[in-house]
Amino acid sequence: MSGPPPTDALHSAVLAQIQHVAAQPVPAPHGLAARTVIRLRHLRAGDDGPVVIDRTERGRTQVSGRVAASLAVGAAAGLPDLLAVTGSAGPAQIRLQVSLRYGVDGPATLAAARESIRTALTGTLGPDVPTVVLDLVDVHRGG
Amino acid sequence: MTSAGLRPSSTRPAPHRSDRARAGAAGSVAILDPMAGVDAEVGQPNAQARESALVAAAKRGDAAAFDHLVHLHSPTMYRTAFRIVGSGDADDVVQEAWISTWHRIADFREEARLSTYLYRVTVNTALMQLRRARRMHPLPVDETLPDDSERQPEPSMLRTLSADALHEAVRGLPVEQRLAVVLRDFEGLAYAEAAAILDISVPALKSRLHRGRNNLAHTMSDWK
Repeated sequence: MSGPPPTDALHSAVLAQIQHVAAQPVPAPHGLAARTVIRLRHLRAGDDGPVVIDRTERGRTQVSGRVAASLAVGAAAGLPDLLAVTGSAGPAQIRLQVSLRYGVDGPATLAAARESIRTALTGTLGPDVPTVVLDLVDVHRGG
Repeated sequence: MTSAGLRPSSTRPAPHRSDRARAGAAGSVAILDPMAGVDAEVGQPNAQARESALVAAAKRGDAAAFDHLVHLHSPTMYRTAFRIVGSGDADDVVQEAWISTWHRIADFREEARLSTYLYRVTVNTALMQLRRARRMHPLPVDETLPDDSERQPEPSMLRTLSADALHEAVRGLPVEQRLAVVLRDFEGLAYAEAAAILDISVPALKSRLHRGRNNLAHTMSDWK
């Protein structure tokens, strides 16, 4: 018998190709570690993590919950019937606590506000906007 | 006798120098290094001791030490994730793996090396990513492809694949075979370490490698 057993010879040929490719670097995306560190800082600060994905770089840069919540609060602040807004965000949801102007139709105003906020977020972050939940916490008589 | 005869289990292939070099370079990013100065006093870098100190600091909640580990190990984790899930999801896998590690670093027992631990977290996170993708695509490639692991083309029939084509072929393997090939054949881990990461026996690992290499050989012989 001459030469290696067929399986060993076959696997050696496969391994030779693998090792050739394995010796070539696989560059990580630019700034991956730095982005990870930023995300960890948000996490340590009590932020629950990414809720939104935009399309700016390869398509999947993650935006932290804090950023998403602040964008949503900013969008809500521009709506005339919402008088006070605070917000937070979890992995899949933005939650805003809102106060309404007295006398408005509550359900209809909240539904319209939710759509306005989603539209505003979509314009900034792209189509993958997480669920927006509005909690009515107060009604203001004046203002 | 199959794959075991190709490379002694006690021999670890040479590390990928370019990646190690890049990992070291990444570690020099302007992050507070609690071990700054120690290496200079010793005169020679003591990577293991340095890493142990960083791990110990991270376990005490030292964010800067943990961030330093992120810069140090992310290239290896990305490389591994890339070969399992592809470039589209690999960076997400790495980020999720680090977040998981941050939550659990206090429980890390240094019986295993940190790199082994991080391989395991990366593999598990990649598997979760694959499961999520599977839910979105009910007919996964893994289960629709015929298993060609028992067919054996002649070595002379193999074509030389480009790196992209070979990675694509690896990602076409059934997941269990893919993980074995990535950890053992690409990363060059010892059988025992790769088996420990996958939580399987060494014989089981060798069996998966055998089938994975056969499937790759089949792909190489049919590549168009």
